[in-house]
Amino acid sequence: MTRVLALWCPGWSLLAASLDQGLDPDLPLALTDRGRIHAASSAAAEEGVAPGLRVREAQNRCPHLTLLPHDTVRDEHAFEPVLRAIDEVIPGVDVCRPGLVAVRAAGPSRFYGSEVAAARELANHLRGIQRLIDLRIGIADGRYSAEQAAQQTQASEPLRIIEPGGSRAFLAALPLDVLDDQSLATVLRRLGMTSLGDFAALPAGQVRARFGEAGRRAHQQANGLAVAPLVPATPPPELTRQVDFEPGLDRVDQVAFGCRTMATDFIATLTGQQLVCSQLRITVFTERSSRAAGHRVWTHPRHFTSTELVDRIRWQLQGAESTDSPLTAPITRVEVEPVAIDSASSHASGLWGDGPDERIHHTVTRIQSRLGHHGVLSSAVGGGRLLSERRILKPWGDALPTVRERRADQPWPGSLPGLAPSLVFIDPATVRVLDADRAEVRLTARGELTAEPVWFAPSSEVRRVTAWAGPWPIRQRWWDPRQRRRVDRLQLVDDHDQAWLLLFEDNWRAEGRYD
Amino acid sequence: MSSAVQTAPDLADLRARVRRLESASTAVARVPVPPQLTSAFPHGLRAGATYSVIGSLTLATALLAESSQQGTWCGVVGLPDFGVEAAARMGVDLDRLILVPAAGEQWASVIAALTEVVPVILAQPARVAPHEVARLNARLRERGSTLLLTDAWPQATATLQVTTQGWEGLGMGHGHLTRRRLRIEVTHRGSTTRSLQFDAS
Repeated sequence: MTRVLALWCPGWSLLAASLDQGLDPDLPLALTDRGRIHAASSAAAEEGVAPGLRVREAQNRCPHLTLLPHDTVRDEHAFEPVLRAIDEVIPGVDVCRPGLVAVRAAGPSRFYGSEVAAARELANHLRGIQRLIDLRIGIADGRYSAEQAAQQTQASEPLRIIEPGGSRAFLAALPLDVLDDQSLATVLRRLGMTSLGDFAALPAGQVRARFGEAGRRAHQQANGLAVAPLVPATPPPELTRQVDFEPGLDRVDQVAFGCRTMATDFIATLTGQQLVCSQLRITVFTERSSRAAGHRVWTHPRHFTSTELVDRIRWQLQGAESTDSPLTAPITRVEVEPVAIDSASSHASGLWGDGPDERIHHTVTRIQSRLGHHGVLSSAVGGGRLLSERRILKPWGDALPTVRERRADQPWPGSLPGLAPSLVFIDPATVRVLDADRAEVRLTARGELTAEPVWFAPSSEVRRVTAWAGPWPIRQRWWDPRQRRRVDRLQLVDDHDQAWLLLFEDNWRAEGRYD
Repeated sequence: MSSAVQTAPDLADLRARVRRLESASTAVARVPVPPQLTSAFPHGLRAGATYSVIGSLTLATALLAESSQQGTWCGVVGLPDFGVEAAARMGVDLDRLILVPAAGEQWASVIAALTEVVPVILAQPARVAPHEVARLNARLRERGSTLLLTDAWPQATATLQVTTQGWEGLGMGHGHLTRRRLRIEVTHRGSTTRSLQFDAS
């Protein structure tokens, strides 16, 4: 049977979470999963926080506990550098889950001299990567035995080698808790068994008849028979690309030009793998600090081409420049990392060329690259009371909110009845509403007009009001200080036969006009 | 001297031929109009022509909507305040609407680029040099895209001058706007004027 080396990093999820959030590993930290504690750091465990505990109970035991949701993607992401390091020492890694991997032991033990030497080499190489200190290694016949051997080690004795042929005896001594299927362990305990050896001693046919396929697999594992073969994962190709500028560049067009080759290479690598990228992250580094100066995720309705990628880099830099500008320092590095990739076959154009929408997208993207990211917009009607809330505009290519997120079909009491105005002002201009004595009409604290509107001045010119209605109060989101609005709406028609919608909030502003 | 006398009838003849050609080449492709406008445009709007709709964005949007309902894409250029909700209620499919809020200096080139894919474009006219107008008109004719302009335009095929005839639903301190009546005067280039009624609700 194949000799297998299993490497186990205890508490990997916790380490990944504290790395990701930049937390101090000595502080109490726990990961939650569906309202219960999934894993707890040693500091938290000292306070009595144990896996399986309810979150509220855990907080009760340890009030200064940091709680984070358990995230398998984060675990995998953080494990990536460790995997690469393992691959440098022993190639052909089979990842069981982030934090637990298996490799074939025969080759490395020949290469490094012995199994102990191979294990020591691996441990020395890995120590320090991703703050990894506690590493456990088990070597045994078959993958399951090796994994169990690794998990049976202590921090003081991090290596356990089961001699060839000794796996069955080693497994037989283990308690039933090591079984993956805890409900099976419960049933076995009720049947009077205490160790894995008792379970392994049962006749295979009867175990299968009683516990089905899952039971049979567990029985084979308990017997030390290799069930899951070792499948070395081919390492995923490195798709992230970066370009360094030395000395740093401080002009957007220079940077964009310098990124062209990188963008072509990025897309060519993807195309070579028969992949396309529909979402990517662009990170920019400046001379001022070693940390990233800004990153942004860009989405594409189909998939990026190299020119579109360069456009995104340009827009990101331009956008940063126009605002408070973290990019006043020269740019030293631009990094492009794919976030969402898809198989190219599902994005291939048809045999008779691209569809009509494809052509439209192509043309519009060209216009957009000339006018800037916000130069071409797509639109939707959303839910809301104010007209500006009801009009959703997004740059072409960015995803519009889904129908559910728009909530346009909800009643929205206080929204405008009747005709919708054909002009909704992006930048509402201040107007004046005057009474018969040409004094400004305002609103009382009770939301009533101080006088009837008789004159209306959209600019310096004063017009007579021929019809009006209101004020219609809009009081929304009083619970949220940032989104709280308290406005009153007035609809009026002037003697130029123009109809207006006005909003009063300290002063009158034109919200929209019926043109 | 004699040559000048000779050319005069030729010119008129050529003009007539050009006009015949212009109308013949676009006789196939037509942009539909709302039923209330069929008396002025019995065959719909001509593809590749420009129309000025002065005084009402609502009417221009209604023309856009009629085309959008046939399943075509539409473009709106230079109107940052365009009310998409009103457009959607009139029948413009927002999923097939391209908005270019501010084209600035590149107004003519943006419209020229849009003509490649969009059969009906609504635009706020910008200050454009006469030779660019001619080039744009040629481009529109070639691509068969109709351009609707919200203001006066030097070489418009027809001008629709809109005046509001009254509003319904709003009183002095009560009610809300439910309906508006428009009076439209259609002037075809070098032709007679005709007036129509249009109700927007």
